[in-house]
Amino acid sequence: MKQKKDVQQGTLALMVLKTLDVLGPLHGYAIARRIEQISGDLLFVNQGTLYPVLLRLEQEGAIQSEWGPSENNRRARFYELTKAGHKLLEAEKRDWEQTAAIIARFFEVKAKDLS
Amino acid sequence: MRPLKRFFARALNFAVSRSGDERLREEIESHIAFQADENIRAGMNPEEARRQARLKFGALQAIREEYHAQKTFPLVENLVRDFRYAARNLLKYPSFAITAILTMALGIGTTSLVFSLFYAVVVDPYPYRDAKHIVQLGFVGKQGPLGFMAVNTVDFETVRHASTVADAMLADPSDPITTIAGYPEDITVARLSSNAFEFLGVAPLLGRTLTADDRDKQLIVLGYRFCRSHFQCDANVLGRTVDLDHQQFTVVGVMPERFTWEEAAAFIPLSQDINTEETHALFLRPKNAVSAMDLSAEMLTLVRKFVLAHDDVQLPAEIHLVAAPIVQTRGNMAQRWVMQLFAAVCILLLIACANFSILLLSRTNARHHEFQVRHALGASRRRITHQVLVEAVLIACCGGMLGVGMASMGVAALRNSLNRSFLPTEATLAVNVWVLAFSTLVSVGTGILFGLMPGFHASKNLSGLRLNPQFASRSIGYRRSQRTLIASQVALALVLLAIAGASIRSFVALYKMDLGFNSHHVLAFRLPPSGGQDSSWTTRVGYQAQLREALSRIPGVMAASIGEAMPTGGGMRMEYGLPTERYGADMDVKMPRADFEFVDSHYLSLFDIPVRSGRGFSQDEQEAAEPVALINQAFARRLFGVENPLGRMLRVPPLVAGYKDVARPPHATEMVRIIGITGDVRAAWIPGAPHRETIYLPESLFATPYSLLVHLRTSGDPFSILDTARHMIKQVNPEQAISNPRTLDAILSEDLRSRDRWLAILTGIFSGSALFLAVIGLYSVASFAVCQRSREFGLRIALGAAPSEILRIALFAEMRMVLVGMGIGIPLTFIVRRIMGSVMATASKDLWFLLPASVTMILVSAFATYLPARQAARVDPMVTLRSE
Repeated sequence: MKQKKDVQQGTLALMVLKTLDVLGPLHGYAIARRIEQISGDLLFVNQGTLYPVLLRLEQEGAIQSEWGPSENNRRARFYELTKAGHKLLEAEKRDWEQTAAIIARFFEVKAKDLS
Repeated sequence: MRPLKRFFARALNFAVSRSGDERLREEIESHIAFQADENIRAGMNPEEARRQARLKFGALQAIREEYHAQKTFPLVENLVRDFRYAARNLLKYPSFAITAILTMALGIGTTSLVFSLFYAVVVDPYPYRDAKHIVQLGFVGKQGPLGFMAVNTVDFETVRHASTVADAMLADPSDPITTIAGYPEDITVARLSSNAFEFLGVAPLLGRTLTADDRDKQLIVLGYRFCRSHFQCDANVLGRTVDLDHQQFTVVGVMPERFTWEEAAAFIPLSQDINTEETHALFLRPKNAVSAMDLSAEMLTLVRKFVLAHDDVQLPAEIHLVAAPIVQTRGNMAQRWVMQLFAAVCILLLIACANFSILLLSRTNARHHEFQVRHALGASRRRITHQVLVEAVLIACCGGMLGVGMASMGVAALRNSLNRSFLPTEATLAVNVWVLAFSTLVSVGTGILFGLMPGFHASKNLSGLRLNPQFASRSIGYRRSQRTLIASQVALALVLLAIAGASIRSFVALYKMDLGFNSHHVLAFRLPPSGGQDSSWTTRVGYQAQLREALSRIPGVMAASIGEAMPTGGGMRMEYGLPTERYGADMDVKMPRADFEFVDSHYLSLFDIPVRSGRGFSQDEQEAAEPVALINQAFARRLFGVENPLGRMLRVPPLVAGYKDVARPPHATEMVRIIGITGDVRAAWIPGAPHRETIYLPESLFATPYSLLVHLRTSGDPFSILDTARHMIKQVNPEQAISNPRTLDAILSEDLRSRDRWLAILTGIFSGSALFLAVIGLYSVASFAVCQRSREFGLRIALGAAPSEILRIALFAEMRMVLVGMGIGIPLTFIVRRIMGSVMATASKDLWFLLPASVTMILVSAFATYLPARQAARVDPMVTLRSE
């Protein structure tokens, strides 16, 4: 059985932002599902850890939320990206890509390239 | 930006204590419902579907807590909660709370009191701008200091514009006679260079200060106290006139109370005189980053240049200048004194803190069961330590507040009873912001520091043990800590007792010391030179004789003396030599100096200073200015050894040297004949100081233009004849002022010994408090121990031990720690005394002081442990056995 990873908060926040960016307003469960689907059920140990992250993002003004009816008429709290959230996502994305590119280059390097 | 936004959101949540729990609960519910729906769709039965959904969501409580932690500030929230809990706890055990708070109040209160003294004397003694950097330049010759640099008003301009000097000022005290009060009195007036107020950076209370334009005008700025005592001190005083030596000065301003510049009553401009003979004391502030060396070097070059312009002045060959901050040149003794007190009070604070720790340890131990339950329920070590620390800080802060209250009462008391000469005149003793900040810092700091040990013990998770409130051996760690604290407390208390003992002893020694003269029933006052008299020698000597004769006629006056010396004064330091020796012009370096006392023929008998051999001089010799002298035994020993000095001659060059304004007899000579040897007179404020070498000469040989000193020995209360004395003097000369009438005993105890007296009183209070605290500490440790061991004692009694045996065991268990503490304390005392001895000139060097201190310590400790021990001996064995 493959081991599930517990995501770091920063990474999780970035995934939340991207998910909301792509799919528009979603409630908590839908966000969790979506992240699980994309990451192939490998990511969450506990879905519940999502909620403190959502709260933090909201306190920072990156997302906003309100109660609303869901597709099957349950009451759920819907989260939506704000303008600041868009900006934040862009910035984080750039950061992430940069980091990833650097790391990738490290992995590609072979001993003979350095000599 | 984002963290800030988040901070505000959290702060808002915290402030309105909005509970987000409702929202989270609903969200979780809906989340789980979604998941369960999906699970049902996947074919589970509803119950299993919900269970799986919950599992997938994770530990609810953990997530709630994390959510909450995100929402506000958990640290602050816990802190508030801990404070509330601590306060409740204190209210629940008021006797503990009161003892602990009083302990800390005593420690912090006394420390704050001494800190306010420290602040007034050491940190901020002067109201001048940048006072730290104002210096005077002192000449130092081969034989030591020779006085401070002074310049005339012309050279002053050169000094001001020297490359190393930022700015400078001149100041000279003068004591003119004024008649504002209706009778003549002499006041101290500072003559200041026109830039002085700007240099010192002080603003006037009313009106304005003096400026460069005022330099030759008859204007005066009043000091606050003088203004209060002589006028209705409001804006109307501006424009009034004040007469000084028959000249009219117009008031232009009043200075604030604190500014007095060396105790001046008022300030007038220093006239830009052409008289380059007159020099004035120089104060200057060097430029930034100029070293003291560079400053002194440049100034010495300037001084050499100034001296070249005068033919009659010569600089000694080997001389250099030293820049001395005014903070050092004035009030040096007070600083040492305060430092010493501060050291003593810090020891007291440490003792109070140890006591506080002991009390807190007993308290936490009694709550041991509670802490173990908390551990079992999942509280972390950190949380429990925090809680105990918060309690400690709360107690310390309550104590601190009470202590500051005590300190401000103490400050008020000290301000009323301290003599004015005691602190630097411009220092203000008050509980100010800095003192408050200091007290707060000490409270919180000691609370945390001394709460750590109890916190450590409380947070120990003895999870292997049962949660049994009766568990007996749990307190071993507590006991060890408490005993360590007790031992160190005893050691410190011993040190403090020894310090107090030393200062009390040295004070008593001062009082008991044989001064070599009789100071009781003597009234002393000054006669400032009165205007309108010609200052010829004959007039002066005649006037003096007339006054003396008038004063001695007063009923109740047994003897009267008018001269220029007083036995507490130390005399004028002047040069002398033997007639056979020749000296060059370079007097400063080569001639020895002694104290010269210019007195009249009644001085020695008035003060009961014995004439050991030879004779004193008579009234006739005084009036005829016979060149005769008496020397004291110390001087005789030094100069003549075993030879008989009677009839030998002494050369005293100053008797004929060209001093301005000094009146001399028509037949002035520098040779005087020794006709008698007197007993030695001691400096009244230093026990055991060597006798000074003193020469007594008829005052008529060297009549200075300065004020005369009158001494009257009375049969009753010295002050009762003051009015008559005023009257008699007025009859001789209506313009003659009288200043500063006091008894000689008052001068001794208030001026010369007041520091030692207050040091003795304050360290006495401190050590008394230390003893008291040690008693409380010992008592609480002993009764705690007895409580802990009551089961053991009960068993012992049940097995046949006699109560006296139990009493012995209980008593000696604690006394052992007292002895260990004393074992540490005695060597510690030696070290402290070694340090103190280098600071404190008056410390007696013998070691007997340890005996009373140790005996007191043992007696007091025995008393403190006896009460609980007696309780132990009375344990009822049946109660113990039943509780098993």
